[in-house]
Amino acid sequence: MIPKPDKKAAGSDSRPRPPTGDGRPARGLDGISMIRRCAIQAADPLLTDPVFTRANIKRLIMKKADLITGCILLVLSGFVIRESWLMPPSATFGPGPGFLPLWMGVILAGLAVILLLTTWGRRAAPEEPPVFPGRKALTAVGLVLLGLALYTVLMAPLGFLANTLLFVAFLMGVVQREKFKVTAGVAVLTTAGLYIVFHVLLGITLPRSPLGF
Amino acid sequence: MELFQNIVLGFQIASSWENLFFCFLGTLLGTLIGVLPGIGPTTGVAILIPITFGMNATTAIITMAGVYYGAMYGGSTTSILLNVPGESSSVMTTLDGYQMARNGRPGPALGMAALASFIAGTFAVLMLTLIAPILADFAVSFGPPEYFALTFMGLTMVTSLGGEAPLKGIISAALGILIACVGIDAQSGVGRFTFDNLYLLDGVGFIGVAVGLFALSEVLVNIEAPMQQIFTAARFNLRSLFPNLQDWKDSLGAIWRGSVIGFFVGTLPGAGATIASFMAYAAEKKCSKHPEKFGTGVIEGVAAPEGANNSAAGGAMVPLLTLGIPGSGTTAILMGALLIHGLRPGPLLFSAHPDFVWGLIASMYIGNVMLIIQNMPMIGLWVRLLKVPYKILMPIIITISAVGVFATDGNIFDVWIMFFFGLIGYLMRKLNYPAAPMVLGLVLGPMMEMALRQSLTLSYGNVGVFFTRPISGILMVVALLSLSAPLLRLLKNRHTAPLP
Repeated sequence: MIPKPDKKAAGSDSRPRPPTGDGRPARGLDGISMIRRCAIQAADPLLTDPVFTRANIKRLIMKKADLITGCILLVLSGFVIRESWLMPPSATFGPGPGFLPLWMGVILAGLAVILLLTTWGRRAAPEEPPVFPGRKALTAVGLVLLGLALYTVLMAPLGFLANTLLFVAFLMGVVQREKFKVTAGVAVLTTAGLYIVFHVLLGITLPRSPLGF
Repeated sequence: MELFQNIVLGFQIASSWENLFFCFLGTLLGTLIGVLPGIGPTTGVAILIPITFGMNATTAIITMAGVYYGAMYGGSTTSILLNVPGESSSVMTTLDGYQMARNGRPGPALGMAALASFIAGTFAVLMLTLIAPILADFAVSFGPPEYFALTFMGLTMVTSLGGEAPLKGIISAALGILIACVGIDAQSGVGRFTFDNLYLLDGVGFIGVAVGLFALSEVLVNIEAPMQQIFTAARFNLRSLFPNLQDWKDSLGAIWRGSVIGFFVGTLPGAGATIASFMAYAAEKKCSKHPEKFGTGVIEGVAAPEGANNSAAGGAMVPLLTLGIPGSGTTAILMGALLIHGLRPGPLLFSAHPDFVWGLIASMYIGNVMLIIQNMPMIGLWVRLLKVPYKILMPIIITISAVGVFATDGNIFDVWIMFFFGLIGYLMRKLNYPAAPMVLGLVLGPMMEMALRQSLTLSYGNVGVFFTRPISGILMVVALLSLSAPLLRLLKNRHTAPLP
């Protein structure tokens, strides 16, 4: 059968999706979306394709997330405005170093307020699937990030070869739960490939461990 | 005649063994990236910046541009065979392409996609050859106010044209400009937002941001739900790929219209290959004698969008090279790469580095020929490559990203930048904030700030300078119109479920 084309559909697959809200989002369509809609109307297979409908669903469901980001952006813009205000004025005439950041801070604050106001007045979708995926998927994302952080920290003490071997083995074996043979094979080949590309072909000095490899 | 000399110069440069090899490598990689769903051209180009870092500028950009337009070819393969678009720009190809495959004609669909891509791609490079020098000549007279207006327009159009969520696009662009402010201010020597960090004095590294925002965040999104392995048993020989005479009769008009639409949509900042393919498909349906057949597997429905997305990739090079205004995420990263190599895109690029400009343009002619060869006889190979599961690609993408970012400066701090922006990019994807405007803000920010401050210094602080000069005035009006359209709509719909 046709596989799922939707790579971003996250872990929310099993959860109920809200209705596509076909009539609803039509109101806020800009020119491009109009064109897109016209084109889509010809295309039955795509009407059920989440690639298109997801964007519209997303607009409806992220009330809480938008409120939180709006507040974060407001705080951030406050920080930017304060910092730019404290920057020294220009030595000659004309705008100084704080000029653009200050105005960008003001603009960002304005945008955050617009985001908050428009989000506030909008009702939430009846059945809200969460913005972030379930625990299992989130664990995978967290593990990748954790692994990458360790990879970055351990680069100097372990050296490129051992560190990369371990990191790829971690991604294959722990995060994706592959069999040992596959894990080992991919780890060795990836490490060797990167070493050849970066060190042998591009002549870049990669970190070595104190043991000399 | 000068044009002719320039083209000859370009071909001399592009046909050196090194450039030919890397043009081949770039287009090959582009096709591969196009074929594989889950990794897009933006990611591909971002990852290539560090790898091509040590090469000479022309070779490096030839390689990266090859990835960009090569991906437009490759994207159609899975669209047609499996109904899975390899890239967003080949979504429209699924409509009729997949139906053609189901009707037992996958060969001509694939063949026509490749041939339409070739014709339109070559058309676009030809237009680029003719239009770019004229535009560059015209833009040489631009002063700081024009430059400010131009960058401002580039940013606003990307946010208002490109996105589903204009407000979030503008926020993303504003954040990008602020990130560009980090570091020592070039004009006054004052450190800004450096948090007393030694590394930040030099600004936030572009490579780290680009790789993090696109490559790493893409991996994180894909890791959430392990992609199902896609697989097809289809086999092709070269003869089955050629469309018959009737197919050609049906498609020629579509290719032609797709090429023209694609090129001009591509030159607009903010409207990239994806939108071009949508518009070409819609236009084709409109002027067809049998619009009701669209979606059932008509070959025009493959030829038009495939032509348009290739043509748009060529068109997007026009504002990038002549004005220094990238129109999409991928071209923004290309522009970042140019700046890293010490080339400042803009009108002066044509007079200061003719060898680079014409070498690149000539390489695009050659690259299109390489791509048609790669995509017609070798299609079976690409189809077999689909068996490589994402599980294996994922660790490779992450490690190449991390090692590449590290290798450019030998500085581990850049990897942390990548890490941070990978996380930010992931959150932005989840919350529906487009990443392209942020990269655009980051790339255009310094230029925009310099032009702004110079203009205001020249005019003794009078903002009117942006509106009284004719060219800058027109650009500012366009920018403000494109900015106000979504805002006005937002206000109008406030009491009726506004959708920011």
